Amino acid sequence: MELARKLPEIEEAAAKQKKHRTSNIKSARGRIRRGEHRTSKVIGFTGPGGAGKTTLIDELVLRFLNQNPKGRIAILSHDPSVIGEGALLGDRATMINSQDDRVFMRSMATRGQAGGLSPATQDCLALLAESRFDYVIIETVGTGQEAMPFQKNGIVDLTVLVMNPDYGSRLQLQKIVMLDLADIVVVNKSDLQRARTAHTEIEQRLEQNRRDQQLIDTVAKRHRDSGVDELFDLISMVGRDRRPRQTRGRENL
Amino acid sequence: MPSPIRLLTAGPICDGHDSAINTINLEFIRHGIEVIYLGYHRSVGDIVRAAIQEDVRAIGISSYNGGHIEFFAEVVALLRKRGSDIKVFGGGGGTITHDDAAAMKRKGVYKIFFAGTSLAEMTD
Repeated sequence: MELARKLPEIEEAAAKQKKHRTSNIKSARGRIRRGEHRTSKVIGFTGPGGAGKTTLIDELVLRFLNQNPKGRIAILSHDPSVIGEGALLGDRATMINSQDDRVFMRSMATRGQAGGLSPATQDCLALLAESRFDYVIIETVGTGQEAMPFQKNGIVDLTVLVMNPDYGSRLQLQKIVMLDLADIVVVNKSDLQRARTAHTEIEQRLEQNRRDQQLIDTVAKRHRDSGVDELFDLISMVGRDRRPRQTRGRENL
Repeated sequence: MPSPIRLLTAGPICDGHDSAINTINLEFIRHGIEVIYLGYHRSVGDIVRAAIQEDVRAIGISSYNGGHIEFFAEVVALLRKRGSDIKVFGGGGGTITHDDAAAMKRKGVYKIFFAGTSLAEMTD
């Protein structure tokens, strides 16, 4: 409950454009940059609206809660503010497994900030990362061809880009900057016919990067989907050095 | 500019009537409110947990199935038990009578809107 009350203070300060530079938050951010006091692994999820980010996160949370009877997760979920108006923060409506006493979820509106996150996100994140959660999950709004919302070498340990298999032509992939930067790329809705082609095209696109990137196919809406299991295992391996370890890619069926 | 008001809206357990709540959500949003929509078929526990985590000003419940006196009362009771002063309001078209509403008010519900209430009135 305390946490719930501190977060709006941060949002309030950000709204007044007075950065919440109280000593607490300042030193929390400093500590996080220096890698101290970090109790949580921070995972960022991004991708187009409707790709399945929220559903996927909910499925991962289910696995986590089942496998870790004492584990706790925090989720910071973003939805866009309408200019001059409020916002529909509807991520919670999609989440079933996350309505649990061991999951702390906060829905945030972007409040006029571009890029997928809210002005208060960084500070809220600093607070959450020190609050003894095993994982802090950040979910951006639906993104497209814009820059990666998560800073490189920032607080986020691992970034996951969730793709819709129906993104258009192969050329479109060249425009998606996030494909260069995400640690894990997920092709969701891989039960659709189009997904096979999508997997091949994205695989080729990623090979151009010559980085450690993983590509996984999932069907997030399916119970006990093996792709989601694989994604979960991969995320669980984010170790103290905060780099995802290599696994063999999954063969597409 | 002051921060937007945050509200939580939901439909009670077993209740799938969501036209009203969808319409009202949009109206609230047009008036600058951030609406955390929890969806329909939500239990008292889920509603209260979400409201506290999200630190909302009030919870709006749209109930068309009946059982509203008990359901709303349980939401209020659980909130108070957890030390929260979040207000609870709601509506149910014609299913909530004036007598029902009076009973609910006695149990701590802040306001009930009846059938025919204008959208403007609700946002005020």
